[in-house]
Amino acid sequence: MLKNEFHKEQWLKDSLDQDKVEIPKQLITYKKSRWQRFIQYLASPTKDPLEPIYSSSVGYTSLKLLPIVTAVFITILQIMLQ
Amino acid sequence: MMSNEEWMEVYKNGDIEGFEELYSRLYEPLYCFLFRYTREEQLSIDIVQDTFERLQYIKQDFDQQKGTVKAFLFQIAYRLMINKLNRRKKWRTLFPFLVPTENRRLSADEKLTVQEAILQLPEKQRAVILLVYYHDLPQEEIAQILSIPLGTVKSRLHNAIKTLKEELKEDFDA
Repeated sequence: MLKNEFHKEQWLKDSLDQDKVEIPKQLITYKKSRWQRFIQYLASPTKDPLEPIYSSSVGYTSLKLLPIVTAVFITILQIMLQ
Repeated sequence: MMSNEEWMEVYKNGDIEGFEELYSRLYEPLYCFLFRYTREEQLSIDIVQDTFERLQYIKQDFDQQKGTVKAFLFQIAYRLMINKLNRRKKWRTLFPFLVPTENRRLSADEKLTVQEAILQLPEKQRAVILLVYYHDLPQEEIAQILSIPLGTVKSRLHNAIKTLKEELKEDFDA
């Protein structure tokens, strides 16, 4: 058996044995239709794309200032184009 | 107690009980393999479901002389997973700005966990080490699942053990 290759490396076996996998409950029953799975996909929680920005104080401040900076920028642009 | 192959015959003859029995026996090992390979829960769940959906269409292709039901299902799952990962790589190349950046760097005193070490293995070596160690599959079945020659399985396993030892050795010595 190929697994015998690991017998010489007990510490490696011990490390690999630490990796336990938890089986999700939703797998216990087979979802028969794609539609059912699509609905489940829509209902699953998603990751907030802005999280890395507002999780730091600098990012949060810049997020608040962004509309003001944009407004100033557009105003200047309009004045210069007149 | 009936074997997986006998239940497969039941299913091939049109009895849905065969399918249900195979699902209840094999969804766990399939999920464990996929999750350890990708470390992504939702992706692994989807591939397990897709694998059994695919089985419904190609159940008649299963030939007991060529291998076990477990190897047959692992082969379907492995191909689906590789296709999905390749497709994702393609999208990431086209739209790199949509890919979240991985900021995590290991500090000098932080240990590399076995999960991270496995994830860092080259893809070809990763599949072999997972199938050998966690699923204890014979060389022939692994060759069938990965569609590679018998000898390649052993050489990939040696390389995988060597790489894994190098990655984890320092932590172990420390």
